[in-house]
Amino acid sequence: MSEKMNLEVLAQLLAKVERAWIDNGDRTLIYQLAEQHPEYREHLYEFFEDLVLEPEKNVGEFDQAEERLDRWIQSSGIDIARAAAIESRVSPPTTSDSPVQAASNAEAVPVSKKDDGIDPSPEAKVVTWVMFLRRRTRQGLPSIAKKLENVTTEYLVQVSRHPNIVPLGVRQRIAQAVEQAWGIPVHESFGFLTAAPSAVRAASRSRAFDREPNTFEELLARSALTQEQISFWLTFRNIAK
Amino acid sequence: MSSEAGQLIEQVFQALPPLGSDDFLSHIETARVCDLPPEVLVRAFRQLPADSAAAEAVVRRLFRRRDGVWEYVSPLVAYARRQSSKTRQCTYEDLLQDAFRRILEALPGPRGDFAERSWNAFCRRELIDAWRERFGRRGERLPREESLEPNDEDKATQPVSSAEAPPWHAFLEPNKIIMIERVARRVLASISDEFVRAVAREAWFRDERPNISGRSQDRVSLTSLFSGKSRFQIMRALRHADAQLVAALLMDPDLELSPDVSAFLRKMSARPTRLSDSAKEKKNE
Repeated sequence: MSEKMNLEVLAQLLAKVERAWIDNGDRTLIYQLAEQHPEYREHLYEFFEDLVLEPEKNVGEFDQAEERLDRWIQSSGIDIARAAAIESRVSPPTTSDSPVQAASNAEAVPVSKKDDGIDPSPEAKVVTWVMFLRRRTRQGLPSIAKKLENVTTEYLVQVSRHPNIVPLGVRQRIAQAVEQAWGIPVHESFGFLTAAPSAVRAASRSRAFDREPNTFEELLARSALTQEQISFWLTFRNIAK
Repeated sequence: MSSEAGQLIEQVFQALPPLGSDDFLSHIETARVCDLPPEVLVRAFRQLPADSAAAEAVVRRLFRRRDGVWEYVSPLVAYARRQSSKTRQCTYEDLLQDAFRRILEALPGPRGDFAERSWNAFCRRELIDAWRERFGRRGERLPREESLEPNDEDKATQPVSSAEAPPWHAFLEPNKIIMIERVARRVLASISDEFVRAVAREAWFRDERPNISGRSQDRVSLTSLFSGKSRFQIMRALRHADAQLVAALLMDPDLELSPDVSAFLRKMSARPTRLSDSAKEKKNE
């Protein structure tokens, strides 16, 4: 990871290698590119090798970590992609026309286009709390999580997704932290933390997650929090002002 | 992206069942990796309603792991393994999760446009960014005693699957051996680095593939043959050469992907992800 490495230049070179191999079976372009860009030589070689060769299977330490990541994708990763997609659909990013009429157009999510739309009216309920936060703070979820204490991206997603199982005291605490960090009034956050948002109900899934969390403890367990952080949030379980 | 590449992806995309239909969901679930390029999945995801079951199914497929194999992020995983080995710490899971998160967040937005054209290059870029975010551009947040440079001995303990692949003699019929040796000699001649070429020659043309290191009465090791080089350097060279050989074999028009050849390629850890490989397989079925 050289300081001088221009990531965009490298990415474009890697894209050339990838397309040359996958589209034309060209295995020698890396030599040409490495000659033209010797500073990226090792990156180009390694990338091509990774394209052609599989990583080793059944390597204990990696296997266990990857199994956990697989579960994380199923429990939180999908929600992260959904939240990002819903937000980005305010201005659709697609680069080309759909080849076919999407059979699911009727499922299109009626996302409120009010950028600062704070009104959590019934028809605006599809805007989740994390979407609301991202719009109001104009920051990505990881940045938001970083600024708040004792939270992770996964925790924010889970709270946003299942506010109905989050104790009142916990919701108050997290809404207060948001208010302190960005001046967003507690009641505005609460507008999104009173009921499960309709846009993320399990009924809309083709296949359920492993299982939706039924209790706050289960939610905490899925939120990639440390034991200390879990203990922190549990202290607010029975506190409500 | 070249127009040819664009056409290929376009063709597969156009051949998809109507986005969001039951047929689409079934296709996304069952299509082989080599018949369904990741760029097509990304494009479908970016066009589907954000909260639809179909969009979710597409993301699940992109990140599907079956029998310990990630179908579309294997190159990313291989790279993350090597990167994490540089820190001597249990950062692998964190680093890969950071990269996954970045990818998931970027896919629907402007950055995801790149993924519609070159999925693996896009993933690699996100992982490099994740690494920088965690450790700093110069690795200044790495634990003090750690170096950014690869540690030879550590790297040497990293498994390189192809290093253990046996020579083709043990697997193939005589006519296939001749054919593969012809391809191997052609690949050997095309490798410009003298050391890589020498390692490949020793590994490919002995009756029995040498071990990387170790002492054995029966087998010579590559570290003894190349005494001035470290295990890491030898493994690195061998991996580079093996990738070139596998690529050349996959592309050879005369080499039929018969069961024994396919088995051999699997032993070499070849990734069957190219559309033309799929066509070749079908032709030979």
